[in-house]
Amino acid sequence: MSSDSEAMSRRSAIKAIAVLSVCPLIQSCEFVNHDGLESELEATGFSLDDPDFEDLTSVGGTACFALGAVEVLLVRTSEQEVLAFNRICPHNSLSMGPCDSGAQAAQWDEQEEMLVCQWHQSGFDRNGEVVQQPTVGSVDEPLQVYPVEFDAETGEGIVFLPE
Amino acid sequence: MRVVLVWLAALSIPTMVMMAPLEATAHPRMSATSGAPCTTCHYNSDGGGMRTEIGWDIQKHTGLIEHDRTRISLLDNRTTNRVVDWMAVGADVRAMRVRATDGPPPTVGDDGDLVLNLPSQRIFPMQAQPYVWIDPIDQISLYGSYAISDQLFDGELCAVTYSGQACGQAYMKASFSPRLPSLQAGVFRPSTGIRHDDHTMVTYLQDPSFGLSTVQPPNYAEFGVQASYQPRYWIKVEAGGYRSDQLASAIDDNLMGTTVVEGSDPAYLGRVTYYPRFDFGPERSFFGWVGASVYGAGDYRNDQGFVGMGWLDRGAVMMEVSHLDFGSDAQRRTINASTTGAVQVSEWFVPHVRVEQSIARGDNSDEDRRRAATAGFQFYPVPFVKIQPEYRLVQYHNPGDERAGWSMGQYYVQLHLFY
Repeated sequence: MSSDSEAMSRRSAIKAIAVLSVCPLIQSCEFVNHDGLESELEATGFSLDDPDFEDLTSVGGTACFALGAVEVLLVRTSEQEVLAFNRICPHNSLSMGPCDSGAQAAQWDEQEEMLVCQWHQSGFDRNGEVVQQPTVGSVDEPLQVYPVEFDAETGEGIVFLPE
Repeated sequence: MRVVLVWLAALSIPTMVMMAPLEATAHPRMSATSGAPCTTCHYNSDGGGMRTEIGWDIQKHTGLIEHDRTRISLLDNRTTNRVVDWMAVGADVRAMRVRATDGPPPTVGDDGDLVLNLPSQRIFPMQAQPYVWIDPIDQISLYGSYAISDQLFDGELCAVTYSGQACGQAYMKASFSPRLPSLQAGVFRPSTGIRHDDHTMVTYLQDPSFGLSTVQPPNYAEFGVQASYQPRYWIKVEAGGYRSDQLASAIDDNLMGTTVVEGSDPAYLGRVTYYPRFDFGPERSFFGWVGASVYGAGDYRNDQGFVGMGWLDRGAVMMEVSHLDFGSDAQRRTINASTTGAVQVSEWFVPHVRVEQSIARGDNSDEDRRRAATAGFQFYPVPFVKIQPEYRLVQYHNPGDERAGWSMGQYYVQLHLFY
């Protein structure tokens, strides 16, 4: 009886090990399918005369901007400057855009010169570097920043994706 | 905008899996395969959380290496988690190996294609939740639980990550006679639908394209009063009234375009469950539940129907459909459905599969859809320890997302220590 039960336990253990050993193999099946989400890369202009960007007429204003499949957050950081950030906060991959349903618009802190994600207060400087940790967890990845040419006199600008 | 939501959805799956503090995950198949109500093994009326003496003792004897072979003498003479006659204590601690939250954002490759980057795998603490159960007199019991934050030493006392989560539960339960309804009052989860406590499931999704939009996340609880009446073993009726603070917090007014629930709106619950059982001889007993619940507040209403059928100690199949209506102003409805099958190969090894679908409908939605298929198993190597690996495929059908086939596949594993 005892040896039967021990043999049973041994068989059970072997089964369990066999099952668990499959787990690492399954990891190789992980993927994100991005077929069909490819973007066409081309710099696109914007104008403050456009109602979609009128919030950029004042310092601290934000607007959403799309370059192909890449979603951009524009921020008027000064009279002379507009910055372009990736709209996905690298902390929790949540949208910081004022235009997305369910999103909380990021705010530009003029004094500290940082973009503050309103989900968990992560802060990023003009280069996208993390300068303020979120209230929950931590963030190490910088926020992606795109070059912008902006003419304050005409209110016209162009955003470029990096090569 | 749609594309950003696709990113959000794709990348928020690991995020939400990992960061959810859980009131010990309920396993409804345990009720279906044993023919016993959840309260046989749990203090919570709809399962999950601290275990009763019976539940504790069953778990003491559940494991590949059973308790008497573990040489853990601490539990030798223990048959219950009561520390004194009138008080029991317990705790759940969880960790998960999953894709990290601080993964890289989508980038654009040299060829101009969008590249969605999966975060790297890492081990993450999920939950540390102690419980206490006190019986001051026979007819009245007090229950409390608290989800301790992993940021405790940074001054964050309570593990609340998502809107709608409470720090824990604290309620009184009064039962004066089996012939009378029992009463529950305090902060607890209203007994809606089947309790899973898994907010990767679509059951309470308000938007299929937005992964974090669960109306009732794990640890969802409201302040209220609930009556439960089970005059016969085969029928149970529940009704309750609650505040709606957490519900108002969880429903995304930006998404809905209007305020759906004010915190001051009273919430209501009605739930009826029928428990059929069929005995066809030794080891051929089948149990089940068929039920419906309605839960709402303000302009929100959730109608749920659920069916479960279990074969004694063999396995169970469970189905649930939820219809979330966010009111005429929001003009938005979400229909969520899930089917779960579990096979009890052994008490310590239970493979399971689940298929789910969520569809948003109405003027204020884009007919978004999400499908998911999950396979995994629960493995108890020793008593009070569970390892649960799962692999999940997710598919999105959203305007702007032209992806064919599955949108993502992900593997993760959960370690659960409970007492």
